[in-house]
Amino acid sequence: MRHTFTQRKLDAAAPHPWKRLRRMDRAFIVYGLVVAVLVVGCYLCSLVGWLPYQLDGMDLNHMNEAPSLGHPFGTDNMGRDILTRIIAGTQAFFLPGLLAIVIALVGGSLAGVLGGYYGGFTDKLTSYLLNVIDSIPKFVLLLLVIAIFKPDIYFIMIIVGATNIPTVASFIKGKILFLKGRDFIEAAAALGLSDLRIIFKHILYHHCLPLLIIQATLGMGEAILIEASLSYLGFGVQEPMASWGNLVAAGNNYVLQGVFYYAAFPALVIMLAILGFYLLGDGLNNLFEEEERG
Amino acid sequence: MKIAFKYLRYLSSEIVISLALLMGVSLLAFMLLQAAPGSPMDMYIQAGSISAEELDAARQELGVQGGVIKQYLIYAGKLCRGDFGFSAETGKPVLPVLLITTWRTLKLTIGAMLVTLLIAVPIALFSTLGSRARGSALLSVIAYLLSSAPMFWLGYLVIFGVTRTYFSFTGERVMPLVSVNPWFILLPIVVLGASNGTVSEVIRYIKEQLSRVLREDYIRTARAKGSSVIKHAFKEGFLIPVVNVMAAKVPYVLSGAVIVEQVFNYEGLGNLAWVSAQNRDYAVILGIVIFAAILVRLADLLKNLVYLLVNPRLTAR
Amino acid sequence: MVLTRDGARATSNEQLATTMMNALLKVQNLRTYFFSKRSGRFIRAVDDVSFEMRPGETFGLVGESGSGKSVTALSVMGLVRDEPGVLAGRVLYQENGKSVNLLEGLPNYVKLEQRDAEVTRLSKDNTNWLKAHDVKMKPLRGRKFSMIFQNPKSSMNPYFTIGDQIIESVMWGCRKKREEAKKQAVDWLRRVYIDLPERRMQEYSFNLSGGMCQRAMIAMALACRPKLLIADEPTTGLDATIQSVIVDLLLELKRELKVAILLITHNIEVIGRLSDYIGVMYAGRIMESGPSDTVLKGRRTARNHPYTIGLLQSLPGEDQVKRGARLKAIAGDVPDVTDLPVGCKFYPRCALKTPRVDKKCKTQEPPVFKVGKGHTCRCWLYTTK
Repeated sequence: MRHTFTQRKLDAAAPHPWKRLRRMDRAFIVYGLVVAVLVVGCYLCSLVGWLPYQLDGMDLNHMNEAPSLGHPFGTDNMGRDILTRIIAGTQAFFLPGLLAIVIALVGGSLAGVLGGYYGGFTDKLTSYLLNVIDSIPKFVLLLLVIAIFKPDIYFIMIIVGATNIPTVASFIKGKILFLKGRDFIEAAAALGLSDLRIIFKHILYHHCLPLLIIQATLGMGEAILIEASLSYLGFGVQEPMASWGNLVAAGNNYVLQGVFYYAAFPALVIMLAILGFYLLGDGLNNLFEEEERG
Repeated sequence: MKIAFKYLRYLSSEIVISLALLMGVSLLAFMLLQAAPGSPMDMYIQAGSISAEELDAARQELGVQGGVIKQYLIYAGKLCRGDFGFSAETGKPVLPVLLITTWRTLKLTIGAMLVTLLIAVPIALFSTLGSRARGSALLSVIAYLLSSAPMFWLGYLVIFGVTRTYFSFTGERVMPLVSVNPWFILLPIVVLGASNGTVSEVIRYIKEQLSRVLREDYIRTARAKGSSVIKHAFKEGFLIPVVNVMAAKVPYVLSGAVIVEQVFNYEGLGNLAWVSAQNRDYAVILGIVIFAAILVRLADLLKNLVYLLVNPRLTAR
Repeated sequence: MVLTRDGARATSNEQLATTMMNALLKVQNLRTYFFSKRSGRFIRAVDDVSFEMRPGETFGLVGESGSGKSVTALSVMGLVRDEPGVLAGRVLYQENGKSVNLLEGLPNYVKLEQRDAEVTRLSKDNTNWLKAHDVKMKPLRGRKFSMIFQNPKSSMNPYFTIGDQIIESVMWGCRKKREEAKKQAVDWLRRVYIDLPERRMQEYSFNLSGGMCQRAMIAMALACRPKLLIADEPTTGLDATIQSVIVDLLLELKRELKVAILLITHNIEVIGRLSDYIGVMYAGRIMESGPSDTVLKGRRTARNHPYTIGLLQSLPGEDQVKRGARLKAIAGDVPDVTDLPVGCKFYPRCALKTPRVDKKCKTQEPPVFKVGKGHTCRCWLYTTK
């Protein structure tokens, strides 16, 4: 493969890391941002009530209708507009997902700092606890919790957040150990900065913020997947509330009758939304790496 | 002889750690159960005002006397003896059911991980060693698409396709497919392997590690002395990363198995978990949590065993 | 147009062949660039470097770190993997009266755009070039050429025993069966003064000391009886006492095996002890080259390059130690490789600028001037006009 290198003029300013990114990564980030904006936009719209049709507006004259201008994604078995239900479906995961993200980030940062910054016995204890959480497959733990408590989506997302703590913590801990290895933290301590200041301002804010942003992005993708999967299995958001997983589950009953779009559109929306958050996370990761390279 | 002893010491310490973690898992599950709103004692308390003596008698009757710690110890002792209690739904002992379903899930999981590797490894190698950037970009987009396809939908599509072609449209969903033809176990395996959400991460990890190792000084030496780069980079650049990432992904694959088993009506751990979660069958789901954790720890032990055999740094000195 | 070491200009292949006469390796106008993504500029690591080596001779390349010594060696071995890498030049290797250009076909992979003798834009198909070049180099690496590196510990594979790695070299280099190769490997370890060679064969690099590791690496490199050994900073990072042990070992092996050594180091003492010829590198160019005693002769007497003089003055000589005199450091900083001056690259730090040539130094890069027998300098001071 031929690569071309062009010498820049000496006085020219250095290009922004964005410019140095591979074209594919840039496309990933742009796509991810579009998805994120759409999801947030849909959530806000459904919150305010700006929906094309009424959420529960049953219309028995237009049941299982194919996509048309009036109903771009068609209608469901009760004549409800599928697009409307997809837009409203963002409510099922958005706030709960944010809760999961906040728990993962706060808990992960705390555990990471305890392990990496303080070390010793604290490190051993936290890594033991994190390993315990890591030993239980996420869905098995979720089903245990669902069996014991009621299947409430907020409660489920609290557990999802908790299961993500080990991942975040290991990133933060790794970063802290790296900074320690370069005597960065000792230098800050030698300047007389307090522990809290070093942890919050220097470690978490200056060095871990990109990591946290990436984890938050991936967390939203995961929240969508888990909410959809659990709803599909019948444990997540319950009808009549709109949820993407429920739409697919309901639509699957009609596939054999040839009504494919009922399930296909929501399923595609799930896939493209998750893809968006994954790509955004990985693209941002590459962007931050490029930035770090200077 | 000496080396065998070192192996033994290293492995036994790993086993002790695993056992400690399993104890933690059982403790966590036990504590969650304690926090359950509908514990057996609640029924007595709600039934009306009862005296302290009556309460004690009731506790004795239920075997939940003493403090929480004592109760846990009794519970843990039972677990160690292989006593996982009785299913509230069927009244049968839990352990035999767990063993059968675990074995079935194990088949599914191992197969799925092989599928994941079959997809991920060629893509990772091609985009690290190959020279065509455009081809590798396309492949990684495909990997991303696979990773983000919701498994329940993909599984459904596969079932739909098979029933359409194999059973010439009966209108009925034939379930479970495995009972029709044992080879149909490949369907959930492929679905679980392709879209458990780890493919793109596995590719990324192998790529990163391999390209890191290819930049190592000792690879330059291998080139300088005319030796094969593949031979010198294989252990650190390929074998260890693959084993490492696969062991780390076992919990994810088991998570995915819950959904795939449900979709394909495959009677494994995940399906059992779903059923017992619906029935609030605490004994069964507790057993499932512990068995799933055992699988995760076993994968970790296996990883450490491979490390031990491959990396001389662990045993030398 | 090709510049040879004695300043003669050869223009055609026939003339080339005659100048090849008894040389083992001839590097001509070698150019290796890297690209700094950050500043968007070329790093001219090796620019127009020419030298030649005869069998059994040691050629020392000396210079500050970042002057392009190592990249020169890696370019000769075809081990530069970073883009864009080797761009131009020839590496002629002669054996049994036949000479081959190891960089043959390179122009097909590279397109240069120049302005004012400076490359401003280039494109290169590096992956395919490396593939093609590897095919050509494969029979030479580990058979005719071999190399030892700085940081012996990280340069030995930690997943194989020392023994396996040496046996591998013998099997490939001398086309031996494993059993025989094993015997030879033990012999080689004994030869580089490693105690208990049979036991060391079973050890891994991380269990050996740095000095021991470097000796094992020398054994590995020489096990194939190469014609040319490239030693890239073989003593850097080792303790002073072990340094001298390694230098003694290299001296001994050089005498015994009649192997040509391309020695790369920033340590002038090491180079003084080992080399027959010396090239002094600065900013990717060989500023001065010649027989080792001429180059290192005197601090002022010989017709030396100002950079060599500065370099020698920054070392504690015997008389200076006696007098307790101050050492003179070369003024200024190591140059920014992405932004070199237009004229002489050493001009900003030069202590011997004279009004006679000052203007030329500033605006024109000095060509290679012959200043003595086999002695050349890239300095306007020695212009005859």
